[in-house]
Amino acid sequence: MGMRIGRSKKEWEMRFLAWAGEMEPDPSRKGKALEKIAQHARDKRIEYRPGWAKLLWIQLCYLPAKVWALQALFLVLLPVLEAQLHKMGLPGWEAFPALSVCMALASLVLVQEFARHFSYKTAELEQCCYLGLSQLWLARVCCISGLDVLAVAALGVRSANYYRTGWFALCVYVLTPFFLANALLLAFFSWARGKSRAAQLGILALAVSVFAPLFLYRQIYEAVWLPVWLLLLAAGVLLCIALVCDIRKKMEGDSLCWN
Amino acid sequence: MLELKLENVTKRFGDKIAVDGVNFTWNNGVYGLLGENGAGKTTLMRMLCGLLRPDSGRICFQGEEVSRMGARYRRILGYLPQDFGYYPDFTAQRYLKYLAQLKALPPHVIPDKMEEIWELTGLQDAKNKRLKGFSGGMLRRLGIGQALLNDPKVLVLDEPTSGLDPKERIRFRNVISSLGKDRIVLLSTHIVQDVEFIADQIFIMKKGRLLAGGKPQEIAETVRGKVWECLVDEKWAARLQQRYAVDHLKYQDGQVYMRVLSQEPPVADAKACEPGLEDVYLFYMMIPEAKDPT
Repeated sequence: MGMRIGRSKKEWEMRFLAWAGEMEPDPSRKGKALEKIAQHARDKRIEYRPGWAKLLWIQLCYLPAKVWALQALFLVLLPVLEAQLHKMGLPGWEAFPALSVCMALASLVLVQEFARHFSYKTAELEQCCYLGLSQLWLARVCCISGLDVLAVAALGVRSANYYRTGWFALCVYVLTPFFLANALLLAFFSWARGKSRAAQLGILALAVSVFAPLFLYRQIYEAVWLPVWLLLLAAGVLLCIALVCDIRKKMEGDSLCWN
Repeated sequence: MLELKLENVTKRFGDKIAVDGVNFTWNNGVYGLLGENGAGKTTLMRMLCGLLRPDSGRICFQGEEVSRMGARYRRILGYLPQDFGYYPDFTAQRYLKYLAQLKALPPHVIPDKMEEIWELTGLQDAKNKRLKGFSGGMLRRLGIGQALLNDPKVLVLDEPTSGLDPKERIRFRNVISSLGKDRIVLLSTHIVQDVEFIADQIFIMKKGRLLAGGKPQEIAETVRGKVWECLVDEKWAARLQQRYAVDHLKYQDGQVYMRVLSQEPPVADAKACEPGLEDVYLFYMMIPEAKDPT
């Protein structure tokens, strides 16, 4: 019986369906196949990947009220202090150190937020989640430091004319001690943890002494020193980034004590 | 079938070797890790969770190194640390939701999943209370609950039942037992009964090494003929306690009933008895230090 050429497509379909109808599926194999499909369906995991906006929103939702209150305090204190200094008619070189100290104190908000994970021993658990600790910290740095930098920028816009330094220079004068203090506090948190008391006190003393030149040598606010300020600002920013990276590396390596 | 494989995993802290060349492959099931404090259990667990990196060797999940998998591995991981940290000002509900979001659970799944966890942990009535008001047992229950939030394929529980009362312990033993069907559950403890009934396989760890491993019955067989019971007077009891590892000691009618681990009968009329997991544990923990009975 050879295959007859010239049958229509419909005829072939009919023959195939008749043939398929005669085939009885093996019930046990059919059951196994269906079970396998059901298992795949059960195992299927919906993978949700929150974006950066969502990550920031989560952090904003879960930052404790204490942090917001402290942050708000500094953000209100800065313009109030500046207005007060303005009212007193103080020249820039007398007003800037006070503003710098105010901003540097604001850096404590972020560092204590970092330390909170370890003091409550939640870091180990958070690091095991899909969004690890480094992502959390980065989100917090963006939230908190971002607000600080914006506040300083706004202050600069408002007051630059009065102090005749220009917006950019004013921001540099205020932000440099802020970043240096942040870097030293981060160093205290990461490097000095577990070190001798003398080393810890040394770091803290250095963090405090950052402000001494601001009050002792007023000429540092002259335009000629601006490149030095810029260098220090760059060093502060780079040091902060390096320390955050170091903490991240320690977390993913083995040198961070989880206890 | 899931596979978590350890290939010659070693971890040092300075001069101390915390985990020493551990090789093992875990598949679906519940595995109990027994060992005294400082045996290296927590270090091993932290390596399994990707918190610590081995100095040498590899840890692979489904053939892929976990350190390379990163967030993909953390997505299928559930972990209860020995020291379960929490923010005291958070309510249980808020903390669980926070962790659910960190675990990247789809937002529409979170409410149902949380309800499931409240039911499982029995914390329904306490979910709106602040964690600073929680008892140790309640926190432990919350800790177990959070580890299950993302329906993990690898579940690592470090001392899950410490701080739980006997009723809660039994309840969680049953819960954990049912979880091993379609995932790898690894629990460390020094409470032998916790793993005796629920673990498919048990491992004993000492000084960073896995000394023995196998099914509870198999592992118990390794000490058959080394477990003895005897009834002696108080004077003898004191002597035997100095010489042997004593598993059990009970005063009855002026005499002392003792269950002793020894290669030979500790006294002439000692009877060999059926070994249990506690005997195995004691054998591996204490026998090297015990004096030769002869």
